[in-house]
Amino acid sequence: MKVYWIIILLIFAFIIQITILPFLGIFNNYFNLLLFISLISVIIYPVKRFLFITWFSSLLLSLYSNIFFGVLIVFFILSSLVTYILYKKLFPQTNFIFIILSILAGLLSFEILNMLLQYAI
Amino acid sequence: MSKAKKQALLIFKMKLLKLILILIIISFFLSFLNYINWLNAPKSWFFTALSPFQKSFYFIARKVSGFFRTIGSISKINQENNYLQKENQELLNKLILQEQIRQENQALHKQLNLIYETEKKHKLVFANIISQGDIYMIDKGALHGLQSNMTVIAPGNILIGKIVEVMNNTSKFLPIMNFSDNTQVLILPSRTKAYVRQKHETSLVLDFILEKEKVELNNLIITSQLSDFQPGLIIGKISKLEKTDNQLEQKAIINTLVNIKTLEKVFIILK
Repeated sequence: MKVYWIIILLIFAFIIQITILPFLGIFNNYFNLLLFISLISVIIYPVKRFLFITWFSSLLLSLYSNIFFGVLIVFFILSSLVTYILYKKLFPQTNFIFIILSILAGLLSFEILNMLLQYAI
Repeated sequence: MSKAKKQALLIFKMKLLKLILILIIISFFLSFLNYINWLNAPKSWFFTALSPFQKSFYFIARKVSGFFRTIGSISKINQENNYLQKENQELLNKLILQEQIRQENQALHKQLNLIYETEKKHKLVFANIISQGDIYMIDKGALHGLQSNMTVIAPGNILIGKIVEVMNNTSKFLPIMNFSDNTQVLILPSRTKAYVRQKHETSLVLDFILEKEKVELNNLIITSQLSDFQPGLIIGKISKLEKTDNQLEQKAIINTLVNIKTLEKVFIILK
């Protein structure tokens, strides 16, 4: 996939994230589509590409979020690295369950980082 | 593992580390630019370009969500309707009584030769909500006179939030549910002072109400003179009262009068 298509797709996902997904939330918690796309890209793409996707999607969210600019970028990269290490290093076999587990670990690590940040504030 | 393989792995790790470092350095640089407000213009262009899409997507999402919410809450609407009819009758009686008092008051003012001061009205700016999340975005910005920390209200002087970031054509506001600091409020009709804070980002709680204070369910909560907002803005009604563990204080859960998630239009009070 060409880079500009990825950028357009991420901007489209960003619009969905800030307009449609808040209506589908439960108790103010809703699905983080951009993080999910970033973690999926860890599975699909090589390092350079997935890091770019992670960085760009977190940059978009940082523009919108109220959290200090840059914090979300670091959290996204760390979560992607958790998924990367789990999937590529610990579960090197291409197995659907391992893919799901790696992505879940990434999502969980992002939530933990976010929670720690909330407590720190 | 052979030596060549080890070396290749080492080179790969170095490359990965370099890439992450570059991205983090770029992010910190952007963060610095944001801190000195140099990112305001690009941000403003970006959100101005996105705002037509945001508006359409937000409109569709709100309509669809509203439709499903209505279907799911028909029985609740019936109950609410009955309650509101009762409340309406009570309010009508109060209104009649108040009108009599107002007329008497006016007559007394005339008799005492006092100038009857009309209520000072705030200057308001009307805006549409175009996206939501932890913070909300509206389609008015610095070009319309908006500034940070201005108060956002819903029709009926109901406090909704405060502006946290202003761009040229759009602004972000933090809903009252997500305020991190405590705001001083008054409980009506007793005018008891209390502090309101958020609880799990879903409800508001009133703290530090002494046990002896006369506070009841459905009492109205308004902003006080000592809050960061204009005094007299409505925050909500008390929906639940609880005593604290030490039995010296009580705390109250507040029900907001509008559901911000379904809100379409808001007003911003210009300072």
